[in-house]
Amino acid sequence: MARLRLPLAELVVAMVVTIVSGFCLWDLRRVPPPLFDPLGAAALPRATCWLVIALVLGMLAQSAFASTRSGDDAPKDAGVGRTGDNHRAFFLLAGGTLAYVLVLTFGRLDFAIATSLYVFVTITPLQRPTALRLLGIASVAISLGFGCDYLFTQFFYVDLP
Amino acid sequence: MLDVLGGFATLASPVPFFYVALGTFLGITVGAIPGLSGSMLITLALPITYFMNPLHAVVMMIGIYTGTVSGGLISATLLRIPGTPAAVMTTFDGYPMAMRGEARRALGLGIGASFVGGSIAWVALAALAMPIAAIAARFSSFDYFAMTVMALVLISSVSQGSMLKGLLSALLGVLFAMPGVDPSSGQPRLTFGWTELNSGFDILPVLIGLFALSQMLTDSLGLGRTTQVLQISGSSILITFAEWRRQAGNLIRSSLIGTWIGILPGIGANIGSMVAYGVARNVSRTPERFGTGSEEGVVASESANNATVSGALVPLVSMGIPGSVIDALLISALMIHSIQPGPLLFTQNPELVWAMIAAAMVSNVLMLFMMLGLAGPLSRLIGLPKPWLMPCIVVFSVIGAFAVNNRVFDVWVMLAFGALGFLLERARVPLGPFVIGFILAPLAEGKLRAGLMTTAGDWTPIFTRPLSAGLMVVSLVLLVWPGVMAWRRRSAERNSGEGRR
Repeated sequence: MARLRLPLAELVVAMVVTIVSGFCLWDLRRVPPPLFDPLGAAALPRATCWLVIALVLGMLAQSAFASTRSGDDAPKDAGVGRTGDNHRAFFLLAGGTLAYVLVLTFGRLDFAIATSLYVFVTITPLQRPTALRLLGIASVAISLGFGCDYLFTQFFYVDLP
Repeated sequence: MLDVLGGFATLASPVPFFYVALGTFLGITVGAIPGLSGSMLITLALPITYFMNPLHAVVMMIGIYTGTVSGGLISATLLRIPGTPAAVMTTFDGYPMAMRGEARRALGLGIGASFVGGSIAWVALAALAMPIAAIAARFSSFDYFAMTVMALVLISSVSQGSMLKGLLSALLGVLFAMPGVDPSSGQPRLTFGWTELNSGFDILPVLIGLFALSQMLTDSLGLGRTTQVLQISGSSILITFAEWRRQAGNLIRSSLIGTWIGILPGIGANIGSMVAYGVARNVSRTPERFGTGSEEGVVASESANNATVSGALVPLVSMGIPGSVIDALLISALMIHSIQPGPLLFTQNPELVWAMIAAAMVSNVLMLFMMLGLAGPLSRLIGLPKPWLMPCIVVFSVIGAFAVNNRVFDVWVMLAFGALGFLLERARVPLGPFVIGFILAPLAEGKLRAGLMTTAGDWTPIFTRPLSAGLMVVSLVLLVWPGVMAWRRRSAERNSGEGRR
């Protein structure tokens, strides 16, 4: 019998979606029954949650059926990562972005400085470091950081963090 | 006729014309660069439109829409990577033409076909929008509910990947549109005690996360892969009239297909170009040339994808139903300026609607001249280093999400939906149905509940009123048909296998 293998990405999506739907169903218990409205505020979200859970199970069943029929040990798109993916760049961008937003949330650095640092730190590791290139990256980072700060605060009146 | 001329007169002023031209130029530029999409550009431009006049904002968006659909032709031809999903079919024949030294000819055919497709569809838009709006104004609540259900099922059935995943995406969009204070009862639901969620998830951070941030995360995984950029070669970008006459049948047929596909709610330019390409190959005298550099293939794909732009505006302006994912973003632009899309738009904001219709044609004409003049310089842009672009786009995404309500909560919402969008794409769950579901859910729920209140909870009018019953039957057929076809295919395979034994 062919081994049952499910794509990791689908499993992760199924888990996330099921957890979110579960939380939603739990929260919907607090919504009182309708008074004048035949449907009420909870009916459609509740039905949507159950349908989403059913579709997620259907998606997993479809993938399982496809993997047993094909007999492949490694299903297509086996994971969140695929062959040839640049994980270093991905984690740099994702981690850098998360750190950038955390800094803005807790107000540790001024927006212009935080943005310039973020752009410089994110681009530099992905390029071969030459003196000229570093100068170029620094120029872009500072222009973007301070330029956006000036443009959005002085012209668009956005109270940047 | 006078209304249409009035629309053009509105755009004849310097400022609105400037915004249409700017939008078209930005759209072409972004559309030409692989990895940057029209959805991303419109999403990032939406926060800036806060500070603009609604007319200027919407006509700029329409310019961006036209530009991005057309701009994808350049990288599809020179790089074999579609700049936008709408240009996928163009890669099959545009790139082989460029490989044999006919890049200019491929671009010329594509640009001309785009213009003709957009023009033919525009006639349909100008002629049909108002009559359809007049009919839609008489729709009952149940008719509207059935229409939104059909739109969701339709986009799920034609999305890439399985229909199951399309439906999942659509329903996820519906679910994430639910948090907030219920408009009928005033009861908070799905807020989990967070006051920031009392108004629900703001559409901008959701869209920026889904289309801009998730795209950057996906692109980061592809960094380092080398691609060959062909140079623009060949004689002339201009095609003679005699050569266009040979393509006339293909042009008109593909443009009409694109127009019709665009009018269908929820379906976009990539589907239009796929269908038109398939039909062109089936009726061609030389079908074997498709995929190896057939001029008919380039013409069919490009005329259809531009035709969907004006076609998709028909349900948008007449019924407030998005004709494509980008039209869903246009609806957001209208809502940001407190303009309620729907059939009453013609009576409440006639100048705006006719200006939108005129902008579709003006941007089509501007696209023609810009693409002919800028194809060369733009071809150098497509080699821009991605590592430089990505953090810049993330910065604009953060600013855009923050500027909505001046709170960091929306930035975190953007991050969360960016992560969700990335995961969904890795699992090959399409994002288009998610956006359509997110936009249409409040409308669908509102109409259903209003209808049930008038009938005291009786559901039968959905299935007895001719229009809503018809739309529900179409939805059911669309739901069931792929399964039936798959079962018939498997039965045929099993029977042929047994016959051989």
